[in-house]
Amino acid sequence: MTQESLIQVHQLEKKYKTKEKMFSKNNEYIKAVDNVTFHIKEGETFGLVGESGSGKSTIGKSILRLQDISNGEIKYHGKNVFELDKKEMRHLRTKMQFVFQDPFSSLNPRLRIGDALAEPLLDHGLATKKNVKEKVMETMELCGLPTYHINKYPHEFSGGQRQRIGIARAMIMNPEFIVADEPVSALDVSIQAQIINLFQELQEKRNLSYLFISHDLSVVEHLCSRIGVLYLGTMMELASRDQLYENPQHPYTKALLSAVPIPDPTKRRERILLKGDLPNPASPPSGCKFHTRCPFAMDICKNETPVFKEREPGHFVACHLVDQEKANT
Amino acid sequence: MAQQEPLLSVHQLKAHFQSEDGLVKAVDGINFDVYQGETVCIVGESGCGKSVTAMSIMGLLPDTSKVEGEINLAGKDLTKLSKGNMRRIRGNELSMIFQEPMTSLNPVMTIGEQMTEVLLEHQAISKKQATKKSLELIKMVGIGRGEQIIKSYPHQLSGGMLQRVMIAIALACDPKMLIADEPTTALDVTIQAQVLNLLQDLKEETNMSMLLITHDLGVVAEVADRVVVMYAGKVVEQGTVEEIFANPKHPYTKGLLQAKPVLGSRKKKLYTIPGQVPKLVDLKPSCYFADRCEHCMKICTQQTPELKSDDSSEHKVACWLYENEVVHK
Repeated sequence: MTQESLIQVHQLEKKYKTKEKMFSKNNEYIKAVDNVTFHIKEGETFGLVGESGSGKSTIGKSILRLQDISNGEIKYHGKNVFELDKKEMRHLRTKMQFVFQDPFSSLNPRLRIGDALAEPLLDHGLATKKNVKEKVMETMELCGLPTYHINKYPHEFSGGQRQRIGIARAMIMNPEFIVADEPVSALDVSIQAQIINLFQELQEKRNLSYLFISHDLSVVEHLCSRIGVLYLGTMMELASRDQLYENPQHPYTKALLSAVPIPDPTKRRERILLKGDLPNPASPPSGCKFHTRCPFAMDICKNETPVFKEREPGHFVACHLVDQEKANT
Repeated sequence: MAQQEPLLSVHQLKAHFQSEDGLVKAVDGINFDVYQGETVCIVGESGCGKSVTAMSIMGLLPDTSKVEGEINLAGKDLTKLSKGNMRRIRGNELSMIFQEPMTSLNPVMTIGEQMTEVLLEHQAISKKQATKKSLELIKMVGIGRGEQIIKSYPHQLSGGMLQRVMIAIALACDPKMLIADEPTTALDVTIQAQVLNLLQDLKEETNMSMLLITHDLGVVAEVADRVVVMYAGKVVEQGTVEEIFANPKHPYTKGLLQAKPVLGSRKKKLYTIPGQVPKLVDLKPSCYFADRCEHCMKICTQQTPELKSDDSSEHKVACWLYENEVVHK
């Protein structure tokens, strides 16, 4: 497992301070990510799904070391990302890239896109002033951007094209690994399909690995080979795509799947409706964090945190109900 | 249902705006009906005129816009009403909920104040009665702790709760017609499922009609009785939800249905509609979808097709492909 895995996340924990108290050492924290473990294999697309506030983006940012973590380890090719020195980190930055949800706010509005794409290449010394234009045009073509756009400014592009620029900006460094944080959520259906296909093409051409963060379970099913389901910063279930979509174990995963509207009026299904809202992450429920909304909650769920265990090869679940069912059979 | 008079009848509605680049025909001569107790969905991508249609029905477009055509609600032409009369209809007979509950509520007024405001404005009741009615409404939309909620400010509630409050305010005066503009787009899937269920239940209880605007075909399939597909300010297809999903006719509708990844049906590659929505300025007479259409013929670039059906059914399409069918017969 260690050999083939590109990224290993081990017992990751990230706490944010909420209130600075002047005279007390007991600051209040929000645990955005709580004891999350998974790995991403080379050439695969790993999906992270969950509702807002589940810690998806925090994990993505932590892997790229865009922020510090509170506990745990993140390894890239077996090396702890947080123990690298400046020089090693600088090299690693080229290998790992980020694609954001809203490319417009992540592009400099006063920089022509040709310059925006050239900047990282020149900065890292990966191109000279002479051949940089050639490389930029090559990447633009790769990402489906007509090269005559090279002198335009970000505001001149449509949403779909801007996302292509965002992807081109990541691809120009020839990375091994890309974290894509809700890259298609802001796009219209017809444009969304174009961008999803682009992600797949790039993966085939360059043997990329993705961490694909999304709240849209249909998009994740289409793109990802393995998927982790997060709820309030905790991994509830982790499995291959087939296992997760055909045999979901955790009640939260089941509810999430049943909540997705299916575009077929002949299939109006019975839904598992969850009660209530997401609890406040600053004071998460005791025991299993999902117990306040779980239709099958038992007494044990309120008191004990379920263990994240492998039930079948590659299929991990953290749920007392599944534990009991296993014990009975 | 067709024999009955429609509750809302939109006839040759046009909404034009003057912009720096020229005249923007955001909505350009559309027709549709909504019958009592029926849910009609308007689908389309951003910029196709869905929201402008809703706003023109509500009479909420800015004065700089030019609205033409007829909007008949229960026999009254809304476009001919004075501002005062329109104000009386809005909230009473016609009500609307918006995409962003956070920005449509007043942040410095409590939920209770905002709810009683509507009631006091439109109904001859005392403040005490209004407060009592507010509590009932809050209960009706499935929020417990009503006493506490009416004393809270919008920022103290979650997105799902706020959308419920919005629905409660919209339904305060028992409208005959509810317009919902992307009511669940900003919500998480599990909350979306709750809100859709709630709207469905309330609609059945009160027998009101609903005009739902959305880009999500999954939502359409779940709630719609009839569907209106819009593209670039025109209706390109309309019919019952079963017909539209089982037998879509317009290449745009077909494309939309194929481009969306669907839970449980895996494809290697997603179908894409090439290109993007045209700018709505200075469009020549033509099918506006022509440059993205794989079936584009000569006539498509020269004349605008009309919305009609090839038999007497309700399933209508604006596409030259089907005109030819009629001609060849």
